[in-house]
Amino acid sequence: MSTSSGSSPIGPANDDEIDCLSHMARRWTPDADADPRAPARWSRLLDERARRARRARRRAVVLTSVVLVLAGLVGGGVWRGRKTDVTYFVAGAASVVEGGYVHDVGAAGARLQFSDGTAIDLAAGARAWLVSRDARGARLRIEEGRAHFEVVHRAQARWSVDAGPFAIEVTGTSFDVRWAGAAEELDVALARGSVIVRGPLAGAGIVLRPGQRLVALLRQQTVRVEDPEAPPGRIAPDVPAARATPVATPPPSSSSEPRAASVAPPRPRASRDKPQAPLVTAPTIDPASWSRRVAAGEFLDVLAEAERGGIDGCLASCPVEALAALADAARYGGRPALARRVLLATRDRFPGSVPARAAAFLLGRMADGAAAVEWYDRYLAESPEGVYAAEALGRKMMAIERLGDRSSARRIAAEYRSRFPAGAYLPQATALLQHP
Amino acid sequence: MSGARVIPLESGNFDEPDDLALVEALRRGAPGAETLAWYRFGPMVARTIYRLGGPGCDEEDLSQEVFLRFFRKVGRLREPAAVRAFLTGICVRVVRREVRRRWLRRWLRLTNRGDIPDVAAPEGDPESRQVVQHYYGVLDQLSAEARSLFVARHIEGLTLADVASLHGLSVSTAQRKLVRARARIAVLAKSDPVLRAYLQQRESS
Repeated sequence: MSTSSGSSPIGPANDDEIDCLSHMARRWTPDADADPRAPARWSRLLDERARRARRARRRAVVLTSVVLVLAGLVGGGVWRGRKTDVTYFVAGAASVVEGGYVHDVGAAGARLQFSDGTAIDLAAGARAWLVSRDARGARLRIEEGRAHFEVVHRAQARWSVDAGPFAIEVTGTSFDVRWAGAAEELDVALARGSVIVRGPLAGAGIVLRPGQRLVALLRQQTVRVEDPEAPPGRIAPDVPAARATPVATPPPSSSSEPRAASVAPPRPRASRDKPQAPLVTAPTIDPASWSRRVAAGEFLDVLAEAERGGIDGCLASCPVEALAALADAARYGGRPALARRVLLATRDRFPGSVPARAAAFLLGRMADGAAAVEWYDRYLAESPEGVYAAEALGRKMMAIERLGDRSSARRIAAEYRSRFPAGAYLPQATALLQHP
Repeated sequence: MSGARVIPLESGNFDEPDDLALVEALRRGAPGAETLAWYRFGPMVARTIYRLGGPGCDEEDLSQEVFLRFFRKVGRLREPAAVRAFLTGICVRVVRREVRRRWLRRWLRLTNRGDIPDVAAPEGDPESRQVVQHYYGVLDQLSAEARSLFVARHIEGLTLADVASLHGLSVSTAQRKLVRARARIAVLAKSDPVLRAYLQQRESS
């Protein structure tokens, strides 16, 4: 170990220098775009465990006799046939009554986290009842308020949501549901996957596509499906329920007409009189591809693709995953102005969603001074236990110190040290507290 | 609804039950306990993996390995209150194994020039990013054990006693190896052009 006090271009680094480099590495907090608690990760963990269990069983089988192989295969079949119900726990500020009734959801919301990775986020004031569970999924009844669903796609999964007189059938998907009991209004916004909405105004059921939003107003007896591919500002008026024969996904009629509220009878494609006009206005948007490609470092390609398709159109209609990937691509690609636009659009279109909350933090990182502090405050208010909470608080502390308000910075430093004793900004917080 | 038990229903507070009760629930195999443990400890494990593994590590993959080991071994945990230290120990072993593999892969690819392999760059300003990346490149030139000891002590900030315990060494042996690792890093850091330039710039400012 070097103990020299000065540095030399050719001599070894001294203790101070190594401490400095180590400190820098310690402060480095990766920009965890992937939430370590994302439902999909839990699902992958379960898959991996199941895969290993299968592999271990196969090895054991190889080492035993043929009879045991047969017995093992039979046993394995029996074992696989036994299925247990999904389990869950409730995270966040809420009261839970035995029997699965969740109410008194606080301002920060509450999450129902299921063992298969599915997560349901209840917004403040929402009330919901977990009616039943089985090995394939669960049935949730929204008594009041808004909920966001991230349902993990599995073979034979079966999830459903009741809201007032409506029933929403779900496969692997991401969507928001709001039910206002007093006004008798249903609002379903689908980010990805597919759902079928059944109920008094929906006849045999309305299938929603990614990006579509269904609004049913029972008192006015209208149902409206807003299509993201419709030109901006050209959402069709409500369709009286008496005239509506709700069923399959509303087909596009032509590129110049709005594709909204088309609650028309289902027509098999083959039986149509003439082929539908191809959709030429919107580029092909593949959210899964964008996320994966950004993760693989192809953010410039993603940016180019988004620009070819039209940034404005994407901001108005892309699913939330695509927006998150596009924001990342813009940040990594050195396009802060575009990143800001995308993040603001995410917050505007998907308020309360995880990406929208994360956007507040990222907007703070891209801002300076008081504006940055304001975004960090917003993030911390919306996600007090969020994945970026420690960094948001640390960055807020530093921003306030730079603004010259040292006493406020010290107050935040004390909070930081208490909440995140192993946090990356601990040295700065400690320094602030030690040197008023 | 079936009669499966749910954790924690009464308070609806994510911080409950506390770590002790959660470990007990894991040992009993209570439904939902593993999900809750993953949800609670996930960020801590991810952070530890990032720091131990550096910018190039596949955090999700390694975190997954940590939790699979944790769920398998939690029954052997003698002191439930030490569950977080227990998890940190698993992180250290998992990352050390990964570093050994990385070494082997690099050796098999035979990078004669000793170039720092391309790794995902951490966030932050470009200079810091480059410096951290090169610093981990220097650390990768140590043996897996020396690297693990050094990172746990000087980057993760664990006490010497904890570092020794996690690596199955006596305190004096851990100390001796740390001194050697530090001396080697001192030389390697100054032979890296990026780190040398950064340190010179820092000294002059």
